[in-house]
Amino acid sequence: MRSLEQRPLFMLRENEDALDDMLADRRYEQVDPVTLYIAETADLTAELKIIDAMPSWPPLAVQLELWKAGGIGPARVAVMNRVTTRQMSLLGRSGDAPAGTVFVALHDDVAMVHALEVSAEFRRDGVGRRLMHGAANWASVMGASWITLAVTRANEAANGLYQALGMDQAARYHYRRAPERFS
Amino acid sequence: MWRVGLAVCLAWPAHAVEFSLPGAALSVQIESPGDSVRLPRGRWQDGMEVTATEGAIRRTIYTVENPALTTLQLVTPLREQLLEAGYTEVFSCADAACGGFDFRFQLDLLPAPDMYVDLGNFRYVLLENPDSTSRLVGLLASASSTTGYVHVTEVADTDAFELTSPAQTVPEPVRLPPEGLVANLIETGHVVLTDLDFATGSADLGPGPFASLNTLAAWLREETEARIVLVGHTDSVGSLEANAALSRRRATSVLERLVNELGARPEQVQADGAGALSPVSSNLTAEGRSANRRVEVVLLSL
Repeated sequence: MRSLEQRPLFMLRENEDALDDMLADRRYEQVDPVTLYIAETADLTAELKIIDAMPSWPPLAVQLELWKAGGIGPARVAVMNRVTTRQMSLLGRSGDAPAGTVFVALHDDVAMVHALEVSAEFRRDGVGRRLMHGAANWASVMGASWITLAVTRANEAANGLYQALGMDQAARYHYRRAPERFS
Repeated sequence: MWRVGLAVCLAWPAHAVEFSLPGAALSVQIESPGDSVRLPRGRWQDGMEVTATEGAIRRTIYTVENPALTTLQLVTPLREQLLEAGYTEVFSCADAACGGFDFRFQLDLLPAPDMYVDLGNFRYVLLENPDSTSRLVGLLASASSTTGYVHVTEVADTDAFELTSPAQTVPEPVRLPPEGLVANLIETGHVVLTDLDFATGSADLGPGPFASLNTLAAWLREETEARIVLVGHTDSVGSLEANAALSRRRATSVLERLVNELGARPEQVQADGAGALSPVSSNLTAEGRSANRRVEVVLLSL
């Protein structure tokens, strides 16, 4: 791994404090702390104009552009395409403008939301909230009891949205990456 | 909900145990003449594989509109009837003690939304009686905030049945098989009606007939609980306001065709318009604009 100039990376879950402490002692830096949010689908569904969160699969060109502008490029979209269970993307709007997009996929009883992106110029306009309700409405029709997602704790706007929507924090994890050189 | 139609008409023998569950309604029943099903005989342990039992399988869901019932109260009447009929209890457990999530996903239950399993609140009972037609019976009870659910899985020997060919009997079709468009709609919640024609600037639907609308209407007539919204889209020629209005009128034209001529009930269908908001193709070419003038269907509930 090191010969490929890659640095060892550990994923630490909540019950792995001992390992976490050992890695911290060895100057492994903490990377991307993540929170997993969950809600009962029924608690997140809402009456919505369908065009506030318009389903489309595959995603429309405008959604790919919105994702790209938010740093979600073709590689991430390719992962969405590889999902073998039911999948959907939703286009959000602000007035007459495409303003946000989200991906959602099913696993049994659980709908997983991914890549919620709201265009910078339309933030704080309820686009993200409507897309989350749209995702829950889709999940509900598909029969999923739960809706869940993972978000980095550094993303304050997103964490604020999911908490305001009443989603519960189900779990946390983070990574630790080896220092550039071992001492 | 659409149900899997049976290739052959299968009658569960009359002398099989007849259940009754006070206050409950039989919501779904699906029989398969030859299939396999997993019915665990113990709690879930890591790495375990539950052996599937083969035979004729009947799955039934009973629902009770009473949020106060516990899972124990839900299974008890059926369990007692079975014990009285000579069954012995092989195994029973409740939620976490069964092995929670992993245990639940070893069970081959009919899917949501017909069945609901709260992973923190379910109870499983397996009973056996080699002398009965239904030699194995698995009960799974759970409850949502409004409704109690009991899923009954019965296994019988396949040769206990007289299979009759469809030519001899004309069984009431369980449900219309969803072909193409409808299957897609159920599977993904969304489908584009690709065979409609609208001229640029016009909300009038061509005379048709349109195969997509005939199929959709037939399904709506059958699935009286299904609700959809039709969403109209335009190309980018014209003003925002004009396109928003035009797209809604297009969707309304389709709604009127479905309701007035093809027998869908008005409460099942809504219409809305997205204007030129979501083009599927480039508005720079005639083909692209034609593809962008479309009506899509979104499933609201089933």
